[in-house]
Amino acid sequence: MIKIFSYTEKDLIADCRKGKAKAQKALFEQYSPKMLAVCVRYIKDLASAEDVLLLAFMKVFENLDKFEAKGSFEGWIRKIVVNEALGHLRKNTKIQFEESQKADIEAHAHSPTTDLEVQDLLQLLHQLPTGYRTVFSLYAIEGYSHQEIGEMLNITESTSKSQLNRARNMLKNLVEKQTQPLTQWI
Amino acid sequence: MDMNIDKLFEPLREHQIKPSEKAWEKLAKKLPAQRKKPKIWRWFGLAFLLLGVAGFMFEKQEKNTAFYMPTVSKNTVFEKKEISKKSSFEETNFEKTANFAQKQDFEKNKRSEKLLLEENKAENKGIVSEKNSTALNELPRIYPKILDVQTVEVLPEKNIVIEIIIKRGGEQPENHLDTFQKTDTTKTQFGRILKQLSHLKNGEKVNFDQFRRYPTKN
Repeated sequence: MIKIFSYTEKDLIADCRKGKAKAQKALFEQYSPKMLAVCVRYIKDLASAEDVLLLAFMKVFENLDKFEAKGSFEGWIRKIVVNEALGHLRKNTKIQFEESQKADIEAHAHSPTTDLEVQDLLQLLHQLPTGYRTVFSLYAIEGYSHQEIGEMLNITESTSKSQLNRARNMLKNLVEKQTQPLTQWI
Repeated sequence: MDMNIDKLFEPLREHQIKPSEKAWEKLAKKLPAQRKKPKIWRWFGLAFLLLGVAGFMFEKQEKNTAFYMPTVSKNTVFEKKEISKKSSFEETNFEKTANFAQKQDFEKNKRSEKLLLEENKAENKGIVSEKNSTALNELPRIYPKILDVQTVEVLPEKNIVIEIIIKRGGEQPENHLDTFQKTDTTKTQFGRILKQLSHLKNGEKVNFDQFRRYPTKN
């Protein structure tokens, strides 16, 4: 007879706290794909991103007792993963936050209307410099405020804002380049 | 415009990438082993086992100490001097008829009795101590045929004084006065006898079966 275990989030957390391997595996399998995608947004190399993911999950299991059911569990894990990814970037990459007036100028007035696949979007994101990519991901995708980003990356709010604008402009250009050959054919 | 770029990249939020198959194995190796809580039922089992062993040992010890000397305190006081005198006289008769071994035991008892008597006299209290108690295991030898038992005195110090009327082959019944502790209620035959005697009131008579020596109330 095969027993199928279906965990509710509460049970899953409770069993993980007890150190039950089955529950830990179930939790990893449930959240790791989303969290690896988070890592990949900050770290281009998939193998390194996976290493960061594992370190983040180690922290998740170690600090599970500290999780209070005030916010969402996924949000709590995501926060740990993002912090771990940023820590990796700090250690292994020199993140440059350039102060350039030129980049602050708004780019093209028209909005790109595209049907880009997620993989294409990820590729575009990876073309950005690390600083741009990090701030854009934190603000536009994760939903952090400039103040929070400033604290996380140890930069000022204005630097965060300028980095975001540059990232947006650069992405627009990249999207336009990507979609141009298609529009030419229409 | 800005919003559009942000919106364009929104699908990335729900994007998923499956980790490699070995990812979990790597992580599992690093994770601390499950904290095993001590199973309570095991402790309960152990406790029951220990209790069982302790009970068994206690039972065994009780069997080993089935026979022991009932002690008589020196200060046991009798108000009825007549009875003591009577018993002392009857014991002299008993001395004549007993065999050598019995005689020795009796002499021992007699000596200790004398000592007690002297002590009491020396204290000038005008009280007479009774014959020193005989070992329970000596009872069947000394009193081979108990005819009758009568409670003479029930003392508050957990002592019971009984008058035992015995009859040996072809002789006249002899009276003996003996003292036992009410608490000498072991599982032995005489222990059971004593147990029943301890419930007797002063002056209540008991007949012993001659062969089994179990007392039955009259």
